[in-house]
Amino acid sequence: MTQPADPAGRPDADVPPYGQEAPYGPPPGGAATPGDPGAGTPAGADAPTPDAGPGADAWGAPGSTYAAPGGPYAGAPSGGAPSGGTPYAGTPYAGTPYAGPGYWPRNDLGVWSLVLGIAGIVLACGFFTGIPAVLVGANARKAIARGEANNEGIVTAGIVLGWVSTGFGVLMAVLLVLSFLIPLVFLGVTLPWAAGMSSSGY
Amino acid sequence: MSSAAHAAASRRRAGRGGVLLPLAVGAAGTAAAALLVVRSPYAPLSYGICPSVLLLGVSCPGCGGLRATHDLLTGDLAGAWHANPLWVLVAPLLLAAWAVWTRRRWRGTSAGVPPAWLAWVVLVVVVLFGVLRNVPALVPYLGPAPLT
Repeated sequence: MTQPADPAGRPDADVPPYGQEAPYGPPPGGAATPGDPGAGTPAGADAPTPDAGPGADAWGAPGSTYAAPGGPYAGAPSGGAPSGGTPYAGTPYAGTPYAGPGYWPRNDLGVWSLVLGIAGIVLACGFFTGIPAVLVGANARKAIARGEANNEGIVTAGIVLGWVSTGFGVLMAVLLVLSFLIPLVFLGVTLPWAAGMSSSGY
Repeated sequence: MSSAAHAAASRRRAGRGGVLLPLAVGAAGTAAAALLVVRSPYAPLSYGICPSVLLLGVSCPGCGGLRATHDLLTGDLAGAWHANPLWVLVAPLLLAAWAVWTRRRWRGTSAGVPPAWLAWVVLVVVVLFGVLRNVPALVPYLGPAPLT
């Protein structure tokens, strides 16, 4: 749950005072105003300032139809003011697009990359986990650049292991193909596309 | 700051268009499932030989996964359990995780990252399963049922 002071206290100049908006309490069931962020537009693509709305409304109007501010916007309360001037600009919490119980650092992505890389080596999963390890590691690098995580060593290890296991996977695939082809050659089986070569003077 | 700009950008990206990635994954999974239904992995060499069995003679944790999936899709739960019990347990969880992921993408909420401890738990469980199913005494319970 978000604190009521968080969205309401943000200096958003273009948001009208909440008391002047349409009263959300009385309207029955489906009568949603177009700017109503809580009723019908979960993604909030059309609603102006979708983030500052539900929290302040739900707390400001006790008789509103919203149950709680834990709607679809609960996940991004701190990202609502891209125009700068967030009160937390200096802390690492400011950039996190997560709401939740805000803890820092969020190193989960890097650990996932490392575990996927380890799985690629230990379980010989090859590129099945190696490529995801590299991709997740790239995302974890972005998280570090954003200031959300601080486990650079773990992420680097995950990416390196991911590449190594990807290489192992490629090597394994090549060996597998060769292990099928080489016996064929020794058995004297002439592959159809090689028939021309053997008869041309080699 | 770039952080605030990124937050806004990621939210924009996670709009209606953000659901395309889960849908693509779902489509790929459905295609694979359809292939497994049509082409039975019980037919010899229908999908080749696992390199783990071929090179090392060891059943990896995923061994029997294709057979288990085929059995699950065709309604043979017992056969699936005998092919790969771990996959029978994990497959529904993966489906649920996919549903949650799609729903979050659809609603535009930022995709949560599974906690780090879950990664370690998964790794330990999978490795343990891979070791135990190669113990001769446990092969009848955890190992893939022999192809007849």
